[in-house]
Formats: sequence, structure tokens, C-alpha cells
Amino acid sequence: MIGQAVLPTPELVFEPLLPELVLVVFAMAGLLYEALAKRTEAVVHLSIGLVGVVLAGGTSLWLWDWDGPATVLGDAVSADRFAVLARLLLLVVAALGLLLGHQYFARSGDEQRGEFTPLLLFATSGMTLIVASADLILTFLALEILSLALYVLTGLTGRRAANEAAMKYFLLGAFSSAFFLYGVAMAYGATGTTKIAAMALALTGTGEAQALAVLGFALLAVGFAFKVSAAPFHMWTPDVYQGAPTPITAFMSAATKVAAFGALIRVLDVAFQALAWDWAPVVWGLAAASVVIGSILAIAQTNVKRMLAYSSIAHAGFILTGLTAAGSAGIRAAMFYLVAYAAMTVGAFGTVMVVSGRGEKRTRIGDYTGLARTNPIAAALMTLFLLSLAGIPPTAGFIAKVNVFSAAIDAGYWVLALIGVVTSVAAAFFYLRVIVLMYMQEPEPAAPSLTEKVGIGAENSATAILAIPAAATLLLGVFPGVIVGIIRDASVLRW
Amino acid sequence: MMLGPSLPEASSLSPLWLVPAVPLLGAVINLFSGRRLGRSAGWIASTSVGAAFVLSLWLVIALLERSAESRVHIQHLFDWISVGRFAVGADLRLDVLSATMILVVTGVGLLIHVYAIGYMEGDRRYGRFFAYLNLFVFFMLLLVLADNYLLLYVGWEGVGLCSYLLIGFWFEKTENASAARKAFVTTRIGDTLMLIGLALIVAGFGSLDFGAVLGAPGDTIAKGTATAISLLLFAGAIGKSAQVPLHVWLPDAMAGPTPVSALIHAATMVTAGVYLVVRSAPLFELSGVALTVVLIVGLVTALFAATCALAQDDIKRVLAYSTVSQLGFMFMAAGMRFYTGAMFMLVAHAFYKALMFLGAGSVMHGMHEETDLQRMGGLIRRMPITGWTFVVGAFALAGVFPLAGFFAKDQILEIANHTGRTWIYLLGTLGALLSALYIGRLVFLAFFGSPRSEAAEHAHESPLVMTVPLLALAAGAILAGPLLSTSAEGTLARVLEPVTGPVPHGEGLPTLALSGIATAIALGALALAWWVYASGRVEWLTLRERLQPLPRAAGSGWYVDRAYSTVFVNPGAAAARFTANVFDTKVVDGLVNGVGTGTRRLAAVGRLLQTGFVRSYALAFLLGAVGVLVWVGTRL
Repeated sequence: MIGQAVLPTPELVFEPLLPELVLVVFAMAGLLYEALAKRTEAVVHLSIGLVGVVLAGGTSLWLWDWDGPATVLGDAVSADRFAVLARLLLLVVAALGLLLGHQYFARSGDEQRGEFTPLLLFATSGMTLIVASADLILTFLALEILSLALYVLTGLTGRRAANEAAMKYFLLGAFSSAFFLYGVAMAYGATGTTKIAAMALALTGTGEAQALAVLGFALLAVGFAFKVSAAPFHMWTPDVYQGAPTPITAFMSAATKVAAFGALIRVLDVAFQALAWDWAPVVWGLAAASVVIGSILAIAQTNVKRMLAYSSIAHAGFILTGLTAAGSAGIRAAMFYLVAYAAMTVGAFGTVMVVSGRGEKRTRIGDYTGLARTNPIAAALMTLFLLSLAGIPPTAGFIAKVNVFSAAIDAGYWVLALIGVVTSVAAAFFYLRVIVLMYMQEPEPAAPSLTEKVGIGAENSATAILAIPAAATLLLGVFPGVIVGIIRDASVLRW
Repeated sequence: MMLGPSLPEASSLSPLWLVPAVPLLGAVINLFSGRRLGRSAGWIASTSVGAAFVLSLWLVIALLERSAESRVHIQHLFDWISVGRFAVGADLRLDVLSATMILVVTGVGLLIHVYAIGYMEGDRRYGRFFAYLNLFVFFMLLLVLADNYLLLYVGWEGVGLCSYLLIGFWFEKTENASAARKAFVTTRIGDTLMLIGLALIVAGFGSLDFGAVLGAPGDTIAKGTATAISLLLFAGAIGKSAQVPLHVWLPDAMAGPTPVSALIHAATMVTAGVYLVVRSAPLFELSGVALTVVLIVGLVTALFAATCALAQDDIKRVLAYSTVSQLGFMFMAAGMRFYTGAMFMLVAHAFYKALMFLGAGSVMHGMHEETDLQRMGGLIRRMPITGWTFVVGAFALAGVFPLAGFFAKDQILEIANHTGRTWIYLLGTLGALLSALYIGRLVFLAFFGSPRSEAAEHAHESPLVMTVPLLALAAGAILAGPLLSTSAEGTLARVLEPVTGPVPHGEGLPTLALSGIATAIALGALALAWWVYASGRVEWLTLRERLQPLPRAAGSGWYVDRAYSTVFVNPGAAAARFTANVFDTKVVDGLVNGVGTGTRRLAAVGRLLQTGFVRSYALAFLLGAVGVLVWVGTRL
């Protein structure tokens, strides 16, 4: 047979990869500008980044009505609406990250960071690629693209804490990549392919290969769990989120989760859909561990960034709770949660950035005492985002939680839903504690008001950026129906 | 891809969503920049309501151009809630019933907005006032345009909120703040029961859409369920429309600025209960019992409140009790399945009661906020426009031919007579007699006779911006009756028929005889009022002393407030004190603090694991991975 084998040359259809191509081109343009221009302007970098993101968004929108083949480039890239919606969400988060980062570096007085925009675009291209990837090899490549860019971004300021965070993130990330790759190998061993669609076909109805496939899945799950910071693979999260510059924390806490969950959804609900009975308990266990550990440890934190990091661990658990329901019900719940989570976490970290001031000096929870007096707008924004994170109506977080719990209950996992509800109550404590500090206590007399430190202009433009996630948080809470139809269309994975 | 709300196919009715949206825009503008706008805030608010009125008029004309069967337009704005098979959309419904309501709300609302520009002149929170007023109009339009019970409920609670904010608008006075609170809490009783009713509708029909619930309810639910739902909905109506036994909040609500009393507590919000019953008529009819309850509550309220109105000395409280009584008449009509009669009276009442409230406001404006009838008298010479338009309103309410109130009340009593409800007819006629008496007393005490105080002698007429709305409303009170007359072939009845069903028929006294009796009673009562209060031949204060303690009891609303305080409020407050000071601090706090302490200790232990060393993180990672693999392995 080997002698006769003809190497199949896939038909080259590049359109479904346009968003990534655009991002990479603009990232390289940013690098060239940094390298060749005599004096670089931060505004030019920002413009390059934003134009790239907007163009990538435009091409993604165009792909919504793509009527070509479901997968292209040798079945390696999907061109379905799921990928489009995930990409759009990622690009919005990236745009917010660019804007916040611009403010951050403008005020911090650090020397200008020309690498910031290109790196963020590279990371975004890895993220948008991973949600469209239909081949585990490509998934792995995309995972590395986004991870490497994030490691560098984490340490971008060169401060001691940032460097330490970047190092930890890198070492543990490499560790998890090994698990992931081993999982790909196992899955290949079980099915003879790394293509997600072909794996799904190979796994339906076979008996023998399943043991190997399940082991492969378990290893892949470990890799994904690291990326979405699900317990017990979460230990890096607080250190990295705290150490990284806050706008980068905002970007990666939202975008990394969207990207990794996007890829995980394809693995769960396409590649391993035939083994749903085997993977559901693993997802169940990760979900339960994450909500419990995230919620309880957040209570003991004294630093806001660390507290929000633990909160993000708990939220990974809630999304996993929705995913225990196989098929489009779980996908819909998880997608809605991701949209809501992206809005509220970018908003929360963005507000932390505004409050922390130059050099991130004010990130203790105690620094929020009496904030409603010194900076009422930031206090109001923070309140909105915290209420949403706590899942209190009329915010997006509430609707999102209702969706994942009802998906889990419909799938028969009511114990998990119960754990989620109870831990939500415990979690409300540490969110509300900040609100109480902001509104019900007088500011420390020594506390300088924000405007003195940052300058009123910078503070206002950063706050204006936060109006976008704030509006989304409220809108999705009051009128969740506006995106239900879009998510419904996007929840059908084509393969 | 479609990111915005999906608008339905273009039709002449597709701007429907703009009707509530424009006042909302006005509210937003005034809320955020009212202070900077100064006096133009009032004009912005009035313009937005005016635009909504013109738009409504245009839509209603387009609706009426259609054939009678196709006069329904449903506009789906967006999916609002969608959980499994249960879905609620943001849907608006324009049919003849909601068309009637939006015309009243925007039309009368416009006049009251314009009036308020003059009335609120110089107030510290001028912009805020108009923002609230516009917000109220938005919620009221949402209430009447909703195509499902949930959206209706949003409007219902929204108008309640605006009512609260506006009653307590001058919250610096404790009295006003507590009146606002009383209104809010009292209506809450009804609202809660109504919410339970909505839950029962969901349980019974699986939907809250009017189309699904009201189409043929008998096919889906049993008679008993229909009774339960109807009575719970009616409980909401009792609260909102201030019917016995939840009427106590309305007289106190007069603490708010007078345009608010006119708009919210006479013309629109309080009629929402009537609208709810008429809209839900298929449910009430399926039950049967519920209709009887509506009839009895309406009758009792009409009589009870009329006696209270007869003994008030505060001009606005007379009108407040009068409103309660008139709403009772509307519910009587609905209870006899005479829905067009209820709606007709709603429209007519909106005109003449808004007119009289604004007139009362004009009197207060001219007399330095005086509201005591005993200190008025002879005002018609000092303020002729206010005075004569008020007389028109009063005669309309008394039921003098050919004013609006004559047609409204006469038709209701006629239906009572023709459907063989003799007792209802007799008691209703007694109510009509009392109405003519108390309104005659008000008019003759305030506007005729001789001035009884310094302020009354020096009263002055109000500016044009206030008197022009009075004239417009007076024209409405005169013309509404003949134009909309509800006889079976009359206009409003014919238009409403597709929604409300035919007017009940029956045999009884001839229409002409009934009209004659009604006119005689109205004129007789007015003449009696003139003789006692304005002819100067009777010492009415002496007469009142001789009749004690009856006037005092009626004046205090037959001590209902005091009874509620003794039976509900005081024990409630005692129970609240117990739970707050004993149960909450000892039991609940103890439990919560115990859990909190426990969790904190757990968290402190967990924190120790987070050492900051990469090697220990990697170890945890490895243990986790081994855990997952072992777990999967055991299942193979």
C-alpha cells in the first residue's frame, strides 16, 4: 500500500483563516515600526493594533455567512459560526486590552513598550486560531502561540513581581504543554488521526480503542484545565494575575478563558462526543473543585488582584458546570457565560487598574475604603462588576449562572448545581465586602485622592473605556435575549 | 448577521415602539442634564409627550383604517427571557383597547405636562420633576402596550415607583415622605398577590402572552384555576386603583405636587386596575365568581368613598376620595361585563378629574398653597377661567346632561337596571346622588358665596401656561360624552367590541326614564348643595356640629386608617422589632458568623498551600493529573 500512496494535497481555501492572517500582518507591522522608526509614538502603536483588530473583526463577521466547506485546509480549520462568535468576543477583549494598556503605559512613566501591541496581537491570533482549530496538532500550535506571547506580556514591565510571575507561568505552562501533547499522542494512538472530525467518527461504535482514547482525553483535559485555571491546576493563577501589569491581567483573564474553553468545547462535544459518559465525571470533578477552591480561598485574600484571580478560578468552575451537559445545551450556557464573564472580568480588572494608580501602588483591598467619596465613578463601576461576578440580578452574571445551573440540572447533575449555588453564596461575601468598604466607610484621612496621582485626564479616558464592559454587563443582565439568538446560531458545531 | 432587535415587516404601524421610547428619551435627557437645562426641562418633557401623542394619534388612525377584525398589531422587539420552552418577548400590542389607553395617557399627559411648566416654576428640583414625570409616562405606556403579563408587570411596578418618587417629591416634609412610603407599601400588598397570579398563569398556560392566555382560557384551565388567577389579578387592581380595602393610600398621596395628583392619581395610573380587569376579561368571565367580586368591591368602594368625600375640608382630599369612588363605578361596570362602559367612564373621568385637580392646583397657586375649603369662597370672581372650567368639571362629574359624566354614569346604571340587578341600580343611584352632593359642596364652598379669608379676597388668576390646559380639558369634558357615547351603536362601544365583546342587553325601565331620573338626581343634589353651602341661608358649620359624630367619622375615612394601625401596623412593628433585635442578632447572626468564621479558618489553611514556590505548584499539578488519570482508570 505504501508504495502506491499519493500524498493528498488539500485544496487551499484561506478565507476562514483571514482574521488570523490580518492579526499577524498587523503584529509584524507593529514590530517593523518599532524597529525602523526613529522615534516611535504610542498612539501609532495603538492605531496599528486597533485597525488590525477591527479588520480581523470585519473578516470574522463576513465569515458568519460563510457557505463554503465546513472545514478547510485539510480539515484543520473550521469555518463555523461558533468560531466566528468566539473570535468576535476575543477581538473585543483584545481591543479593550489595547486601550487599557495604552492608558497604563502612558501613566506609568515606564519607558515606552513598543512590544506591547505586537505581542498582544500575536496572543490574540493564537486565541482566535485555537477556537477555529479542527486538528489537535493545530490546537497545540495555537496554544503555544498564545502562551508564549502571554509569558512575555506578563513580564513586560520588568518589575520584580512581573518577572517572577512570567517565570512561574512559563515553567508551569511548559509542564502542562507536555501533558497536552501526550494526550494528543494517546488520542492519535486510539483513533489513528488528530483531526477532530475524524476522531469523532473513529470513536463511534468501537470498543477496543476506547480505553486509550479516554486516557488521551484525561491528559488533554489536564492541559486545558491548566489554561482555564481550573482547580487543582490553578496554582499559577493568583501569582501571575497579581504580578502581571493589570491591563494584561484583564486581557488574559478574559481572553485566555474564552480561547481555551472554545477549544475544549470542540474536543468535548465533537472529538469525544461518543464518550460523553466517560468525560462528564472528569468535567464534573474539575468544576466542583474549582468552584469550591476558588470561592473559599478568595475569602482569605487581602489583595484585590489576587482575590479576582481566585474568583476567576471559581468562574472557570461555573463554566465547566455548564459543560457537563453535553451538546448544544451545554455549549449555549457556556458561551453565554463566557460573554458575560469577559465583560465583567475585563471591567473589574480595568477598574482595579484605574484605582491602583501609577506604579500599581494601591491594590490592597483596604485601599478601596471610602472609594465612593474619592472616586464615585470608579466605585460605581466596581460595584456593578462585583455584583455581576457575584451573580446578583439585574447583571449579566446572574443570567449566566442561571443558564449554567439549569443546563447542569437538565443533564442530571443537580448535586453539582447545588455545590455551585452554595459556593456562590459564600463567594458573595468577598465581593460584597469590597462594596461595603467602598460605600459604608470613610476614606482614610491620609489616602490621596486619585486625581492627584493620575491626573484627571488619564483617569477619565480609562473610565470611559470601562463604559463598554459596564454597558454589556447591564444589557446582558436586563435583556439577555439580545444575544440568545446569536448564541443559538453559533452553538451548532460544523464538522 | 442581525445584531439589533429584529423589526417586523414594514407597516404603517411599525413606529409603535417609538410611542414609549420618546418619553423615555425625555426622561433620560432630563435626568442627566435637568439641572443645566433650567426651565427648558419642562418644555423638553412636554415636547416628548406631545410627540408621543401625535404619534399615537397617527397610529390609531392607521389602526382604525383597517377592518374591524384585523385591528391588532403586535410588534416583537426582541426576545427578552428564554428558558427552555418558556419564553417572554418584549412585545407590544396595539389594539383598540390599548389604543384608547395610549391616547388618554399621552393626550391628558401632555396637557398636564404643559400645566406643570407653570406650576412647578421656581422649584429646586425642576428638571428632576419632569424626568420623573416622563419616566412615569414611559412606564404607563409600557403597561398598556405590553403584549404579555410580564411586560405589563414591569410597567405596573414602574408606575408604582414613579408614583412613590413623585408623592414624596418634596421629601423634606416628613408627612410627604411617609405618604409616599404608605402608597408604596399598600400597593405592594396587591402587587405581590398579582405576582402570584402571574405565577399561576405560567403554571396553567406555560406562557404569559395575551394571545395564549386570553384566546380561549376555558380549553386549558379549570374554572377554579380561573377564579384563583382572576382574584389574584384583581387584588393587584385593588391596590393600584385604590379600592376598598386598600384605598387608604390615595388620600394621603395628595401630598405630592398637584400635577402629579392629576396625572397619576386621577387620570392614568389608578385606572391601570380597570384596564387590567378589562384586558383579562376572558379569565374573569370563565370564573364568573370573580366578576361578582369585582362588582361588589366596586359598589362598596363607590358608596364608601363618596361618603368620605362629603366630609373633607381639604380640596384635594375631596377630589381624592371622589377618584376612589369613581373608580368604584368603573369596576361596577366591569363586574357587569359592561367593559365598554368601564372604558368610557375611564376616558371621561380622565378629562374631568384631571381638569378639577389642575383647577385645584390653580386655586392653590393663587392662594399661597391654601387647600382648606373653609378659608375659600367667592373665588370665581377672582379667577374666572379656573372657576368656570372647574364648574364644567364638577357638572360633568355630577352627571349633568350633556357632559361626559352624564353619559358615563347613566349608561352604567342603565345596564344595572336592564340586566335585572335592581339593588345595584338603586345603590348605584345613591352613589350618583352622593357624588353630585360632594362635588356641589366643593364648588359652592370654594368658588361661590363670599370670601372667608384674606387670601381668598386677594387670590389671582394663574398664568396662561396653566389656564390653557384647563380650557382644553374642559372642552374634552364637554365633548367626550356626545362624541364617544356608549349606547350600543355609539362610537367607542363599536370600536372596542372586537376586544371587549358586545354590550350586555336586557329589559328594564325605558332609557329615557332612566336618563330623566339621573338628571333629576344630579340637578337636585347640586341645588341642595347650593342651598346649604352658598345661598347664605344655612349655617353649614352649625349644621355640621349638630350632626356630629357622623361628619367627623366620615372625615377621617370612617377610622379605617386607625383600625389598620391597631390591627396590622402595630403588631407588625412589634414583630419586626422582635426579629430585628432578638431573632436576627442572636440566631441568624450567630449562624452566619459561625459559618463565616469556619470558612475563614478553612481559607487560612488553604492559603498555606499557596507557598509561592514553583516546585510546590508543579507538585500539586502532578498530583491533580494523577488524580484525574486514576479516576478515569477506575472507570475503564
